[in-house]
Amino acid sequence: MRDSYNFEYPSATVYGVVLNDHRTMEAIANRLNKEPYEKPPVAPVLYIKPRTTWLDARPGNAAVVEMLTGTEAIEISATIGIVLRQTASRLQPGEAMDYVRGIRLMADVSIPNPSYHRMFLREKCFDRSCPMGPETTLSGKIESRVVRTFADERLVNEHYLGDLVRGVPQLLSDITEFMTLAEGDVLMVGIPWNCPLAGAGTEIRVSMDGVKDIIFTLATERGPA
Amino acid sequence: MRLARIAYNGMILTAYPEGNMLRTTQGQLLAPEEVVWLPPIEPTTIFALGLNYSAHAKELNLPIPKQPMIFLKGPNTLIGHRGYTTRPDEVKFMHYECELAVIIGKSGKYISMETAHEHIGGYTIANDYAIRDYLEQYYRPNLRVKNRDGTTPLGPWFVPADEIVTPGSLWLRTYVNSQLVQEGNTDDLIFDIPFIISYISSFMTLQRGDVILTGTPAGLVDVNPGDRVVTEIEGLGRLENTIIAAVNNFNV
Repeated sequence: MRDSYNFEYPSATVYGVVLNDHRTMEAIANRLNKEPYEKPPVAPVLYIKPRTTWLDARPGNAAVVEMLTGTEAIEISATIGIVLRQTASRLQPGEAMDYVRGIRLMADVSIPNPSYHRMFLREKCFDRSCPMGPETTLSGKIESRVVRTFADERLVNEHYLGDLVRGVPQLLSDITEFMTLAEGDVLMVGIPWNCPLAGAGTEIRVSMDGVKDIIFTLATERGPA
Repeated sequence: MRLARIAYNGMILTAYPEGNMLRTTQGQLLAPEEVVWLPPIEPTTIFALGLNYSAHAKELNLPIPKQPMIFLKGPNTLIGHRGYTTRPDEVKFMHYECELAVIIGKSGKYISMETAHEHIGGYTIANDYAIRDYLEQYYRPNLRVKNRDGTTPLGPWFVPADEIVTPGSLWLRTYVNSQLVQEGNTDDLIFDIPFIISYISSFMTLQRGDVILTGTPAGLVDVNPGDRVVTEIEGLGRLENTIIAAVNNFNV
């Protein structure tokens, strides 16, 4: 059923984190000591999903993500984002959760690239490459949840939020140490490596206990009018 | 006419230059020192080019990139003219980066290089400071280097596009305590402005209000607390910033 209110997008910025789950870090541990990385990361590895990537993916809204021409498959990295309650700078871990007023279910879509060396704008920031759900509150702990991805109703991925290397309080503390987050900003808590790929025509559903699903379909790029 | 965005008397105002003074649209005539200069616009999305001057690539001993290297910056980074930028206390290398900032005036996608100029609303100066100590080889340049609070001065003016006749040959200069430390010209851009606009818009809608920082020439020097850094671009004025030590900026 279609939600009757206009979708409220994040206020200003959507940030994401990679290399923040144990499964990924164990799987690629031997790569991180070699070129070009030299050593494992010290600080959280961050990126930005700009405004033009944001897409209201509530069920019934028929959200469509167009794949860039020449792309055979794109990677679907489902996760949650925490929503900031107010301006957050230099937080201590102990107070960080006071600055969280809700979560959003998110699907970070990208052109696959196994490298973490550079964030390629074309791969990670093409239009509507960040389908998301509305802001909602979550009862219970984030760490106990699992984010599931379905492609044409087949379960293709399970992302256990208990597997995070840095939990939400530590992430917020380490990030706000040098950059202020604004009220309404979204911080995605981490996407694992090697998430499922899908091609044009696939319907993707992301679900998590306690929140409404998000749904979007992949399509080929329509191109200039 | 070029305009500034300032805070004065509890209000955010638009002001025009009048001699050495500022004339607000409401009629006040103010000295540059009596107002707070804000970034001349509040961008929607901030793009920044890495390694986009041949001389800079040479200086860093890096090959000329085949594709534009573009990263994004958050709004927390922006600070207006005559501001103070914090240098963390324990670092060894913090440097300025004088950059021509292009402000998009008309949204578009699939913009051709030939029509790119129609989408430019204006220009301003940016100083994309970087804290090299924090550089890591993950999603570089990583946000801990390039996305720090108040480390990207922007301004002082929004200069309408029609006031800059030759954006492809503007000189850029940086002075630290009145010493010239960096010099270049936009004719040395590896990827020029029409190409950048066309490239980005081939996969992302460029929106009115977006800002593109187009890279910095060679000549990067460490700056320390007390240093007065002036980044200047032909036709766009002088953007001033002073470095302050973290221990002096943040009261414990």
